[in-house]
Amino acid sequence: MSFRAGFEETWRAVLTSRTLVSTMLLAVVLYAFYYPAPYAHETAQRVPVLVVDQEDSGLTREVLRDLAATRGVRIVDTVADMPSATARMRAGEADGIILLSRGVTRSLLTGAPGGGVGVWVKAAYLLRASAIGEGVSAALAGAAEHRLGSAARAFGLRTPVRVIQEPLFNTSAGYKDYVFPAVASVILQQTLLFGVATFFAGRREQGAPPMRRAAFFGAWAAMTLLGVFAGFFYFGFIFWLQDVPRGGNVPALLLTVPLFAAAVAALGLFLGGLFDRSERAMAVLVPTSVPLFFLTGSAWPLDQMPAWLAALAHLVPSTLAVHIFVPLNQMGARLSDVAGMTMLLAGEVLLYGALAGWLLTRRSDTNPR
Amino acid sequence: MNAFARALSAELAHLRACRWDLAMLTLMPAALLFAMGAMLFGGVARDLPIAVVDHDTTSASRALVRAVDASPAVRIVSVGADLPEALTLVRREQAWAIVEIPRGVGRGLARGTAPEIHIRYQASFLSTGTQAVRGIAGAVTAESAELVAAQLSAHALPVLRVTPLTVQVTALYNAATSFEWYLLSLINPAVLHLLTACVTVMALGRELHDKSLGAWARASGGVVPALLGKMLPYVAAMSLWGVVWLLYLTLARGWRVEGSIALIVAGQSLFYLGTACISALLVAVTRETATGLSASAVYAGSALAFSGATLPLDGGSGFARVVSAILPLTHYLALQMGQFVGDAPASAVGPMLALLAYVGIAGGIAVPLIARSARSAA
Repeated sequence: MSFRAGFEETWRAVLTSRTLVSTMLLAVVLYAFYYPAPYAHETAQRVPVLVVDQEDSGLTREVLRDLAATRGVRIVDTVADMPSATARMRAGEADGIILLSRGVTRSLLTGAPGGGVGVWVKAAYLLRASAIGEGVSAALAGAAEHRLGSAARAFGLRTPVRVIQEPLFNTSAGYKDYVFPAVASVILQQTLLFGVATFFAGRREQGAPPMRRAAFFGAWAAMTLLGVFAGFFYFGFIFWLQDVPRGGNVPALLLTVPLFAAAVAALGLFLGGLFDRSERAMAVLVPTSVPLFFLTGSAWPLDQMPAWLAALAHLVPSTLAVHIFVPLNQMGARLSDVAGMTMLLAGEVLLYGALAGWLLTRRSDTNPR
Repeated sequence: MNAFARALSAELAHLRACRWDLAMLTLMPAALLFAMGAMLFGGVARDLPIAVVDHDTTSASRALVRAVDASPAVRIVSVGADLPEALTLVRREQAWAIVEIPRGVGRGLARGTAPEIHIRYQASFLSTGTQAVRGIAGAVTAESAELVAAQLSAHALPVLRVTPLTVQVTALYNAATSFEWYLLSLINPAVLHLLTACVTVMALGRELHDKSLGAWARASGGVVPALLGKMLPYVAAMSLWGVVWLLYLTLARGWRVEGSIALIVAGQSLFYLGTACISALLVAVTRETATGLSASAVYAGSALAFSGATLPLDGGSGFARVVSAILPLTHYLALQMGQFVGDAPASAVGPMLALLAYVGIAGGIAVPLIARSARSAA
């Protein structure tokens, strides 16, 4: 079979198989809308808290009004004392307790110790805990500034140094704008991998003869092209539709997206050649999806992982892809900025291509049964 | 032998014979749980590389740089005077944040202008960027207060300490704000959930002949006991892995479960049984293993995102909240996290009932569907 015949046969097989159309095409479209949905509101909002206001003064009431108006937290109730607040938090009513202690205004005015603000959060949910902490600090600073502003100015007092935090690239520090661009590489990899491995495991299950070299390259090219389409569908259309940050470096994508698709397709061809049945491909590969996302280093950085694990993670195309496509798409990076990862990706194309070519074209493997 | 025992022994015989299916219950969960455990072994990020842009280059700015470098969370990899150069380092992922120190930082109060120190951080990798910025901000705030005090006395002004009111945040149940405790608590149940979904779809899917479970159901001698016998090895294996993981977290890593471990273990088994019932329903409806696996990848693969355990869904869309309430992982995590932090046992009743509902509803629809296919094929 020639290159062209291998290419055409693969495309025909994909498009006429309901299983392959649904895993390789429909799933790609579905995930583009389904996956970002729980992150669409971008920041932690309305995290439930209980308030203990021991002072009950003008200032503390102002702090509580400001706090009630912030998006981050929702005041479930104002409670008389700490023990009952703790009991209600343990009953699952809230994720945190805010204590405005007696003397807080005096401490604020005179700098005297004794009064203060205490926040207790269930840090088992880290993100909720930080939402509460940030909300309280901001409301308190705002109220203090407002209350004491004129007096402080009269004395020539002001904050000596202002520390300003600025999120780069994802300028609203939004959660969807952080998670979706990263998870997109995992979605693109897994959908292509499932489809390619399912198809070639099925071929082996049916006892197909080893492929001619030209036909192998034709099939690889056909699957790569599918991956390229899916990649540009995400980076060109879905990223715009989902309105995630875009600093699109299109020329660099024209090089790196085909490399990524070729690496994933080759890995799929190789794995497909190892599985005994077509269903085995998905049964084995689907459960890896969640760990593979975390191994990209998006939630916990690669340089904080044990070195051996980080090295293994680099063998997975999606890990490289996250560190190529997020810089190119979100940070406005140049190709030279992602040169190292791109070289590794090219290496994976050769490695997995060679493994797949060896496995699928060798003579001895005529019938696995 | 009754239908339950027959189905169970048939399944065990199959597992002994099929290396692939056996590996999915042994090697695969071992490898995935081990990888996630190793990944988060550090728990708290240390020495994250950051860059400094110092426009001041006085003893004051150098003191700030030293203070930042002393923060355990970060390590300075570059000190320069050029912001674009530092931004390139961030783009290349060689720095997670940039501290920009303006000219005249130490003379701020004396001059009557408040200098602005900018901390720019990598927000495309928000989780790590935020950890870096917290480490820096604490050090900068503390050190700049010292500097101002020093500058005042240098100008022969009385030392006036403006102590901004501090908000004392106490992290309960995770004092070190460790990612190991936080993320492993969420990832590993999600991984075992997805694994359970896949292995149980495969187990029942194997019995499909000409897109029907009819032949298997007729030979089984009772759909309910046969289904239970078939699923038992899978549910038991995953529950055991769940216990292994809990023992690792508590005994080996020293994390403390404030509530009832027994309740978590029971909830976990119920959760995996419910997952198996959903798989039975998927196979009975789609009558195709591949489609059942695709559906599992969609619903269980993204369940963690919808669980609200990372980003809470209180501000989310109606769609997201409805999907979240439908997915079993949401309820299991509510139960587990509640017990981890020692919520009252009564707060576990709701999640437990929800988990029971998956067994009742998914199983309750799957069984008549399979029984009907047995009759129609007869």
